[in-house]
Amino acid sequence: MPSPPKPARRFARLVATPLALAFVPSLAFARPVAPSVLCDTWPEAADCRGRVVGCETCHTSTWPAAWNDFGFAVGMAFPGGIEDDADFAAGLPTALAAVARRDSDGDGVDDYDELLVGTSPGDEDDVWLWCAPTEREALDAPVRRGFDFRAALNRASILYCGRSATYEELAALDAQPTDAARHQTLHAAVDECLASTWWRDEGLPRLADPRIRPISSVGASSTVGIVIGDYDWDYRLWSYVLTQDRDARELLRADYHVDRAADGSLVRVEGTIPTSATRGPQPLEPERRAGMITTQWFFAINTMFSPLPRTTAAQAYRAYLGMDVSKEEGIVTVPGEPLDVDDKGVRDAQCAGCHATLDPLSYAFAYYEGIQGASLPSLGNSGRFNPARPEREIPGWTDPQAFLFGEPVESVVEWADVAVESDAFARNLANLFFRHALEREPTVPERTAFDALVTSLAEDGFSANRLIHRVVDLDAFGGLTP
Amino acid sequence: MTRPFLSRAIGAFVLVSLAACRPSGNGPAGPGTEPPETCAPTTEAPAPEPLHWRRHAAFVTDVHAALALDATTGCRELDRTPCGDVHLVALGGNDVFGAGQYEPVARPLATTPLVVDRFVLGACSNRVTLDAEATPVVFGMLDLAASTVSRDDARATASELFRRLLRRDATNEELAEIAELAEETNARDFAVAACFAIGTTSEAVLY
Repeated sequence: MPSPPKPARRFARLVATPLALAFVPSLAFARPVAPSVLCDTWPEAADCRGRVVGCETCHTSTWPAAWNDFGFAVGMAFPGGIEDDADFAAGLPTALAAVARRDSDGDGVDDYDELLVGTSPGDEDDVWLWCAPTEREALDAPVRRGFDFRAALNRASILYCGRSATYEELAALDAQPTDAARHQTLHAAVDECLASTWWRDEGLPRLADPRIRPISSVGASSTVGIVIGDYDWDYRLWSYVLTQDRDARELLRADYHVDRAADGSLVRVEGTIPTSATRGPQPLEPERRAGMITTQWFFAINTMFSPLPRTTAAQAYRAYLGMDVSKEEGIVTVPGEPLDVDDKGVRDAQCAGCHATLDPLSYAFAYYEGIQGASLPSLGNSGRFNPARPEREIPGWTDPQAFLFGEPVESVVEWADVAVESDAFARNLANLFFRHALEREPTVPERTAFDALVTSLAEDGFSANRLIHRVVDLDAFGGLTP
Repeated sequence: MTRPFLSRAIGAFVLVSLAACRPSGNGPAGPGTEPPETCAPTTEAPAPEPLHWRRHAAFVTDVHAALALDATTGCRELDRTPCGDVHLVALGGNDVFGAGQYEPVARPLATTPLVVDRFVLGACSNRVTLDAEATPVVFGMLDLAASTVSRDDARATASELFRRLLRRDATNEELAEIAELAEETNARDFAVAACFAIGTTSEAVLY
């Protein structure tokens, strides 16, 4: 359906907005249930395949609530009044169906089509005019014609070896007689880089920095004598899991630790780690462990002294599932939440939208100590599991049900089990290495190839190495625009 | 949906190239609808992936490898600290333990060109000094004590530097251009200037 001219739409909106607010007063709220209902209605939408639609799909602001063109069109298409979330959830599919073939933002593409390809139906500047895909020319290698093997070898060497390809390496590539041989040479070089000490000890740790968030002044080598945890354990586990074709889900499932052998290699160690004069311990029992999100450092730096460790859960959600609650990503409202167990006022309307997701994410983490001692060798009880902690910190604690993605979980270990089996985990892992390689998000025409990366993880045993090999074969890695 | 500026720029470029795909008067189109009849497959060569910044680790390693230097013999500030460490952030690295900077800057800073010049000039100068004082490693085609440089020696030196610093053979035009630096210059100054000129090209900094 052709869009009305822009001035007319603007005028219509100008007139209709106060009318809508006057006659449908409950529209003046953001509805945290909307993303999940949208995905139930249109699961094929790009943002529903592995992550949850963000509030910005409809809103320009959630408090006070304000809408973009799409959100406004959806609101006006509701079949009846909206008294509460239940009315809203019941009416939203009908409203979405009503606007599917509209072009709310006037950018030339239907709202439904924009959601399919992953552009915003409420932002006229975010658009991709679609054409039928063209046939790919077949080569004797699994890359597109025009793929620049020299550029790819150089890029791979820089990214995974920490240096450019040498003159001799490039000359050897040029000497290969066929694209298939060049492709084989390229991937042999990638294998060599991924087995290098640079990738293990420098390349991979730099990808972990925003996830581990070390603070050297309170780390094991603190020069001021205040140690709250030893994040070297975290870095070693990260690098161990993401090398040698290991299962990347171990990031959140490992019940072991990783130490460094005399030759510099990383070796798995079992059980708890006693303290020493030069490094911090890992006191948590293996059955309570869930990889990166249960190290002593993770609890010390995220939980600190919080009665309900929302920051800890939010960092786990952000770092390993790719969704930042503070940016209103990954909102999956749990009915009846937030309970406001620690009396922080999070039931207020401007807080509840996020805390109905965040608080149930956090409950399971409340049983782990944050900072409980701050000096080597013991570090006190930091990071230990303590069933009595919630009641000690929050008198009257009722052991509320924890949830992840709307699914009840009984512990952090179960939280992690649900997390690693989710599309969000796979998508976040693929996104990590895609962004590392190309320093940007996938574009709309790359979405199919990116989806293939995500789905390939299962068949590749969640090997980061195999994932990287697939990234190297992407058109963009060889200098092509898809 | 928010997207990085670069993606928007790419999107804008492709939008222009796909302008013929915009349905004329037939309403919007997308994967949920049939493609418009006017939407012919594009025959132009696809645009290349934008250039990327050769960041700290690779840049420092490349310059050191090209000139057979390391952190102790390469560029050093006040002869005490490796320039690569001092200028970590401006060279595109992230100072995680010193500054709690968990991710590198997205694009070169205003000081990045200065730091690149500083780093390469320091490395080139040190290499020339080392070659002048002992068996030369990089500048073996030159008599570094000479007050003049022949055209052939200048071209041979340039050729060696292209292979070392840019990992490719130079074109005739490039050799001629570098050789011009040898006019009315002593060998040592020419060596530093040629090394600096090649090592600070955009090709050395971007990939």
